[in-house]
Amino acid sequence: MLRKLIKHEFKATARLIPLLFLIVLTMSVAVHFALKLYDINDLPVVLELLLALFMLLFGAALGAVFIVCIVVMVMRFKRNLLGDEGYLTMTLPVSLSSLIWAKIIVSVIWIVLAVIVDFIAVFIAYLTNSSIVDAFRDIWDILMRLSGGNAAVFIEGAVELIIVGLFSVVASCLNFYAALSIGHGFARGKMGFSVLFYFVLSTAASITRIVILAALGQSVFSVTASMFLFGAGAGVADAMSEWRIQMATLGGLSLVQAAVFYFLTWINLKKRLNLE
Amino acid sequence: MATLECIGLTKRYGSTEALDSVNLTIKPGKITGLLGPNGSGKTTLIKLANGLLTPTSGKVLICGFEPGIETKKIVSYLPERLNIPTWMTVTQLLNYYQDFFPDFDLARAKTMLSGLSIDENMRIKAMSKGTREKVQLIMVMSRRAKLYLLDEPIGGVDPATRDYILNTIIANYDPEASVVISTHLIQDVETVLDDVVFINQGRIVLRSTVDDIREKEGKSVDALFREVFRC
Repeated sequence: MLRKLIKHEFKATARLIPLLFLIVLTMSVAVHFALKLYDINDLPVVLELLLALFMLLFGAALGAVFIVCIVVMVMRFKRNLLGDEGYLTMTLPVSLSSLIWAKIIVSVIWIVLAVIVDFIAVFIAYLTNSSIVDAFRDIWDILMRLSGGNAAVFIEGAVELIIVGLFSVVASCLNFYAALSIGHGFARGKMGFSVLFYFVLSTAASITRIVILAALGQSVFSVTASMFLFGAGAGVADAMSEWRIQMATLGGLSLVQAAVFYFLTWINLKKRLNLE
Repeated sequence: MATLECIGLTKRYGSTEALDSVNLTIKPGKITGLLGPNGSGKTTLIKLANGLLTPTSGKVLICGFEPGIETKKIVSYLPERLNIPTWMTVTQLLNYYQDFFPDFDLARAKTMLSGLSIDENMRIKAMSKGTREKVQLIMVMSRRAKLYLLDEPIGGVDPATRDYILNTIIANYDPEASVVISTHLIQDVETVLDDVVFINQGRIVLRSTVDDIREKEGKSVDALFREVFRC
């Protein structure tokens, strides 16, 4: 049943997001050619201003992709489980866990795709712009130096960072779902309470994270510090060990956070659901 | 075995008692009217049977089971509100029901849709309110369920649509299944009912067959309802 739920989740959410991806990618092609115009001397001021405005719009579009994904994810949860559609969804012969997981999985996939689309869009836009290409090359050199010139180390570090990032995205999605589920349980001002609880839960999670990291002798800056261990001439093995500890800690914290938010979502939908 | 059984079923919202120790048994093969004024507890009872609410105390059983995945497979529910996703086309909605409800009869649904000349490629949001409600009813009655829970199926629609809805219910429910129709529009629904349950302020005030009411009370269900619930 989870597969069917995921299928229908994609159908429901695929009406807008792919279109936005297409718009961003199209804009990136336009930016690519627009940047060539910058190489032309004596451009009219108006044209320069228009080009600058277009670049700004492109930058906004790159950010809008994420915002739209989050808005679609939040509205989908609200409408499909807590709105009138909930009378159908919550009476399907599927478990509540499946309903929640289908939404988490699809939301995470769209957010990951948004990241990939943004990367591709930036790549296309700045493909032949020499100064940007040089900047990317410099970043690559730094990353290589940080991993001691060892591709395997770099790949391991990158994979661990991606995994921790995924855990963090799952926790963020569940933060929204938990807040909506709690807010829905109030007779009046459901949306207001949902917003309030979003901030309460995310603040509580942030404070808990900082306190636990401090107790472990780490901080949110430790990740950056461990990266610079490489550059400071520390042995790759020592630096990687520190990196793994950081990633495990951050990943573990995100998992615990996700588990707590999942429980809050589940228990509120189970016990306090009252569709209007 | 009773299709629907309520045992000491109570539901409170804070200090408000929506249902108070309701004991009720619905047997298979009967069309039962759950009749009461607005706010009497009809919708609360139906929501509890669907697992959309949890009881404060007591229990509700569907064919001997508490509401859960297994009961949702055999209960077909028509809520008071439109619950079908309006962004879907009719075809997408048919696929949705087929995917999740093993007892969904696609052929029956298509026959009823074509009887109303509804284009399956049309989006639900492009339809009128009455047509949407008919599509929703068709989905519900196309399931070969053991229990149909219909909450105010004829409220807010024109008389011709009311007739269509009632005829659809009669023509399509499994004779061994139970149908519970909750409504406060007694006159229209009386002709299809076998049994009636009057509910007021969360309590059952009367249980009878329609025939008994007509023979013993010498009046229609509608007239008795007006008498029992006189303001």
